[in-house]
Amino acid sequence: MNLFDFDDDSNAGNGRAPEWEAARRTLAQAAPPDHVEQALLRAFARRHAPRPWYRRWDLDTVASWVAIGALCGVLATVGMSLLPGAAPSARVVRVLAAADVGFVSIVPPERMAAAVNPQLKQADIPRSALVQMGIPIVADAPDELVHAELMVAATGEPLAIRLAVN
Amino acid sequence: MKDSDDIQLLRALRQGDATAFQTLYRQHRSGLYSFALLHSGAPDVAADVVQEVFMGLLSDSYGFDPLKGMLANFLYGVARNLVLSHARQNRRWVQPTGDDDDEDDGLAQVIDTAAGPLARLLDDEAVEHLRRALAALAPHYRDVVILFELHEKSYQEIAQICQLEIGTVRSRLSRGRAALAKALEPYRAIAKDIA
Repeated sequence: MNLFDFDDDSNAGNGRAPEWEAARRTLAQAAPPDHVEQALLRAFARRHAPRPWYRRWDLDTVASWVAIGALCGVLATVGMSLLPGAAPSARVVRVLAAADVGFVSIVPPERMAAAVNPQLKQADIPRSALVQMGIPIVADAPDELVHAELMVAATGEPLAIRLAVN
Repeated sequence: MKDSDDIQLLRALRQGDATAFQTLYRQHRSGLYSFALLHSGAPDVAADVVQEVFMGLLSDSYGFDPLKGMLANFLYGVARNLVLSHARQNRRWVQPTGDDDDEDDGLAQVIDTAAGPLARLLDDEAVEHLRRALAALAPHYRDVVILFELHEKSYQEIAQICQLEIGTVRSRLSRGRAALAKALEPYRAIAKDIA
């Protein structure tokens, strides 16, 4: 087709001018220079680059993990403080096992666990004294004696108490 | 290329798929570049426009909403705004004053219509004539004419791209084509003499 062999009607705006056909053919393969695509791909790579692990966490995530870590630390510290310095003897284990039911501790657990050669003692104790030890008992007759079993350390220190069934 | 494919590619590129980005770029680069090239008359400006369009798509700074239209038309709209913005900054032509659709003949006062790098790029005399004639058109006619004639966009699509009423598109196209034919007359006369 001769690009310049056109009819005048199409040039008046009622049809496609031949120059447009030429433009379509010429520009069909037109493309920006390669450096444009390369620049875009570099920008894409920068935008979607894998982030190091410490940048993948936002502030909330870090705060959560710090809080969890702190809580675990506190729990570990408390747990360690509850552990006895040394394993209790076989006798202590037996006494503690025997005393496991019904006894109310009147010393901290670590002191009870650390007690050497504890023994069971029978005693009659006034209600008022039991109340002072924190035993939940009615004190309407303060001087009335109540029969109790005491677990006593070798030093004489009472460790736990169990009220005997009358 | 269906718009649904474009949307899938867009979704993939936002998830970091470089191949999807490259595919999308290669599917639209030619059309956008041709549009910007004929509109601005400068290959370097056209290349910058295409790069900026896709940079914006990459950073999602233009806020494309698939519910509001096709991605291709959205990209043409961005390219158009960038070309016009570049033209305003560089004052390559004098902007028409007053109403866009007043009774002028669509010809703007052109500062530079001489054959530039595009003449070397487009190895086709007819296309060069077209470029010169388009350069003589006011930008608001040039948009519509290029989109209709070169890219074969419908009135509806042109209205979407240029953010115009369809009636305005129709009138601009009519006046723009008439003005273009008038601007092409000298070249056609020469061509007829040669023939």
